[in-house]
Amino acid sequence: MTFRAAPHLRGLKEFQLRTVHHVFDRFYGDQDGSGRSGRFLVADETGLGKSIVARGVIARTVEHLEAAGRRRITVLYVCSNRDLAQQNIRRLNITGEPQAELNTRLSMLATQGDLLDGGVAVGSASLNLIPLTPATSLQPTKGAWRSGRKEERALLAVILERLTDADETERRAGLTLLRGAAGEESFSREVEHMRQSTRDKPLDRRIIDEFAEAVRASGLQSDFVRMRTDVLRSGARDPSPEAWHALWNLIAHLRRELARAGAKVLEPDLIVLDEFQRFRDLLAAEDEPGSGEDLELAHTLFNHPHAKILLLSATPYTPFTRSGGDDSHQSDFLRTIDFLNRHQPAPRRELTQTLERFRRALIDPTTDADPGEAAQQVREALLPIISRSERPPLTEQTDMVEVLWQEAEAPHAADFHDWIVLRRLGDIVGTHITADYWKSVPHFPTFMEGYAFGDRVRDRIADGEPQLRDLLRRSRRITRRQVDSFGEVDLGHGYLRRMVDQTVDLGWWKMLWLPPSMPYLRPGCVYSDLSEQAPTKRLIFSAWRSVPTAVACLLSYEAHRRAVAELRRSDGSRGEGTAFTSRLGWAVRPDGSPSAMNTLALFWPEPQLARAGDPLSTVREHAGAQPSVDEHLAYTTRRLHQLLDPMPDRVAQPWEAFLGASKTAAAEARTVWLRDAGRQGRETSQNWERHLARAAEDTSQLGWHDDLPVLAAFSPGSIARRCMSRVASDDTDGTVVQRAAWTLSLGLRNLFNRPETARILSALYGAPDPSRPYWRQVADYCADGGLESVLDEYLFQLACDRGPTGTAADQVIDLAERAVTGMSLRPAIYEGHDYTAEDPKVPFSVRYALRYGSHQQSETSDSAAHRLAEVRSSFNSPFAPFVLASTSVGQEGIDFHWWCHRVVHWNLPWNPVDFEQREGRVNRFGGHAVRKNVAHHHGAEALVRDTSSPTNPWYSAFEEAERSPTTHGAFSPWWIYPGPARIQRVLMAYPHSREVPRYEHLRDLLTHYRMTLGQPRQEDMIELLGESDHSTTIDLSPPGR
Amino acid sequence: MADLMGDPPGRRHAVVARQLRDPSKLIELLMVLLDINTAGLLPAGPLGSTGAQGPASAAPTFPGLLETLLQALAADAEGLDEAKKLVEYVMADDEPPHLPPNFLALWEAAWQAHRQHSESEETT
Repeated sequence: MTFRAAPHLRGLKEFQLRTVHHVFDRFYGDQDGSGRSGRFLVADETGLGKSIVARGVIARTVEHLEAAGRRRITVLYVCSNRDLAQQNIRRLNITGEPQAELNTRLSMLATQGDLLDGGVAVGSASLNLIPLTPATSLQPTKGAWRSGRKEERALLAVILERLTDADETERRAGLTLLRGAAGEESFSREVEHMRQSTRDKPLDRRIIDEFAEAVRASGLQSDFVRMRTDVLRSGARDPSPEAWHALWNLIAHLRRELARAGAKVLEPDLIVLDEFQRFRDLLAAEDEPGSGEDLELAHTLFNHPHAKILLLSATPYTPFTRSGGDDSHQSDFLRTIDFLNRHQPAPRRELTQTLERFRRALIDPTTDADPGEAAQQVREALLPIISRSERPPLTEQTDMVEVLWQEAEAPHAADFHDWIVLRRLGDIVGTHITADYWKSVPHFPTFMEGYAFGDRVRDRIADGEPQLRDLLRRSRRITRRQVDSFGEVDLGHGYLRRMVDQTVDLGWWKMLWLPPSMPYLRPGCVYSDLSEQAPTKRLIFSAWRSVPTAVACLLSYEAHRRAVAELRRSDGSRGEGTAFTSRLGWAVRPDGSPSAMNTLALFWPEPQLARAGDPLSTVREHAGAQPSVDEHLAYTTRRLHQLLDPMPDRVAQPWEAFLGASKTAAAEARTVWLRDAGRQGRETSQNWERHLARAAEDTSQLGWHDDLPVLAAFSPGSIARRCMSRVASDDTDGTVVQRAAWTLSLGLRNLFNRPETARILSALYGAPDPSRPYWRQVADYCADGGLESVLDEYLFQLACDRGPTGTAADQVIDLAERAVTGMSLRPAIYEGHDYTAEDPKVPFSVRYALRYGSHQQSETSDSAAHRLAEVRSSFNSPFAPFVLASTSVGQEGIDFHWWCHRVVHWNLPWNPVDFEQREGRVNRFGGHAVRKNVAHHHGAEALVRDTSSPTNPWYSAFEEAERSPTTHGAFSPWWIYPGPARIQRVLMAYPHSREVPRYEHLRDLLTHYRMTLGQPRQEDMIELLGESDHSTTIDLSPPGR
Repeated sequence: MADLMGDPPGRRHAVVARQLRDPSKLIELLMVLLDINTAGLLPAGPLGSTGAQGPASAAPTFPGLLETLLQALAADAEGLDEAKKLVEYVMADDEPPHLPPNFLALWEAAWQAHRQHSESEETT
């Protein structure tokens, strides 16, 4: 069976397809490949799906190589961090089968012989898709840890003892040499473990042979043997201090040789360098000064005779350098060009001349060269190595971006006073504090940790300098006592007050999820105001490191405090304590028998009831205006009456009626539970089993309770069941849908079981009582906030993102699990500091607003990467966090568009292109703004469309949108769809500050910078362009239109 | 200024007062006063423009006024006291200038902070 690329290209949009074909043509288009560098840069504007293009290139490459008789095909995917790798590797994987472990270290490749020989079958060949991150894989000696990881040294020990035929004493001496900073015992355990695993799974022969030859030839092996002999002779358990330096050098060299052997054996066919500007130093030429041993590995890979290199980056070089800064744009640009041309001088020379002609055509009044022609020449010179697709530009001139100035109120006297204090503090510790600190960071003294200034203040207070403490007491500091008791905190900052005005004050503290873009029912009293606002999440960017922490702490605190304040106001309770925990338990009597079974009734997905409570049936039956919650309940009641006909007697409890109605489903329920018991196991599982057993053996008769329609229409269980049915394909097994629904429903149970949630519900509905118990409040809230339409929207997005890989069952289970991940974010604790206190820590519990990126932890650490992924998937869900604040780390490559089309520029960037970078995070495929507009135009139609089986209405809405013509061609509807929602560029300013003129200048630069591609002194050039309305642009779109 | 304040109501006085009814002239003068004692700390920026496309584009804005105030506060500049006298003087005029929105709030807050700081400095 041969591999066909066509099925993998089917979902690609027209411009993506043109790019794939152009790249492929540049890689393999003619037989001899003369004049082709085998390197290509796809510089598509951010958010246009470069990884989709890469996937297409991979598919065509595999098809080509397999047809040419290749049996093993290796594709390396290199990207800067693990979070990005996790996000993208799934999209590149054309096999749909699981691929190699993430973060493969080249030095450890020898232990994965199966990785090199295995791979996933693609036709008659096998494909290996291997992710690498430069920091760990390609630059193994970078940084202080020359000795590498314990497991690497253990592997070296095992290999070297074999190469040198070591006896027992020599082995032990070898361990002494290689154990580095690890303890004697732990290292020896690690080596024993390595020996064992290499017996089970032999090391890759080719790598070992390469390594053996290299260490013999370079003398490393004899160095090692000599040192080992020294250790044996001295009998020491540690190498002598004098030997340390030489030893660590030796280890570093051995590790590098091992990594190089791995790199050689990999023999990549295609290397995808994603967002490579993050590791641009890898692109240096071999003979370039400074390109030391660190780059050797990269060159080993890049210069492999078969290797084609595909670079992906929206900003491959600094797109724009301002005058006064370094002129890095042009040098960056040319460096990239050099890499793409394999450092050949001729093409570079020609290109520089072409660019110079273009420049003159634009700004030199003495030339009559035609700018359009000159631009065409630039295109011809670049297209062999670069292409770039762009959306119609996001400018204020078009209607895509909406500029919103958020003017803060004038600073309060106390705000100004804080500034004076801050300056005094700075004077005392010798740090010049500029007004930008004060303008940017709310409560700077509380959040100055991590700045040199903050460290100095802290240290000198610790040294007992009373003046500093007195000064701090004079500022409005935030104390731990205040925070612990949910006291009111003066936000102390104009921008933050504005932010609170625009979120918490608008009732956002009541929100557990954003209102749906395509509501099925009219929102209830809590959500009607919120829906009016058509809110979208906020993505805040600031160049100031403390801003994300300060904003996340204070906004989260404020949201939380409002709920508590509301509780205190309404019932005088303290809003604290254990009264709010675990309200949705599996209650049992002392004898172990289930008592009230409301939780089960609320969360168990009961298919029959779910069908009766389907709001889309109501929408279809209820021609005309959007039905209200009560109207839907009336329809549901009618359908239940039909289901239960003849009308049974009344029962006392709603869950009794539920059990009666679900009698037939209980057996199915039990099967599913037993299958999942191990995975879902929690401490309450025994009680849950009792509930389930009771449900399964239930002998009670059908019964009616007036709350039964509420359960059918609005219980999370019924909702989960309907939502999962709508994304399951027709042939999906019913028990699989049930399992997925149960997974989703348990996620919702966790959401409603949080004390925070219980507090919000009590603030809204009062403390639960027999007339309105907690389970009923939950159902009411789900009805009010349109949970069902929200989940359908979310699942639709997850399904689009995931793509149709795997079996139908995998698909539906995976969707449910991903949705649960999005709603299950653990709250984090961020810290502020009050240095006037004995214990300066002021902990804030945050969930409502979070920061993206770690404050101090190194970004590459596993836990930090994991947390980033977690924060990202939660922000990309309708659930909390509703505000995300980031420094620049969020600017490149990461998606934040799912529920957000509003970017807050907390500070104006220095570089105008940062606007595009930042806004590019939310201006993406199927983003929140696009969905709102599609729903606006096609929602009503999509909701009433009658389908033979349950179908998520978003599919119908986008089908309609795809059919309706707009002026945006291939970018419509998924990237751009006209309508009331736009990408919002929010600018913050104090009255009478310099922000306004600064922005105006930035905007002018932004409008024109594209014309200065590859040019020196870009800002000057734009000024010379002056008022003349040049519209000449350099078109780099792939050919073939 | 001293002259100005001490003058009996006269021709010169009237001319000055009339001049300062133009808000941009007044603010420009204020900024000069505030800036004198912090000379060199401030980068020269565009002074009051009435056409800047700001948050409320209809109202005149004076970009840089806030930054000037901040610098003066930080430097504990004597210009603050002079500026205070000037503002009081023009506001006491029969026809006080139509000051841009937020200006008085901004000014009052800054002045209060300045006083509060001076007082706490004195008590310590």
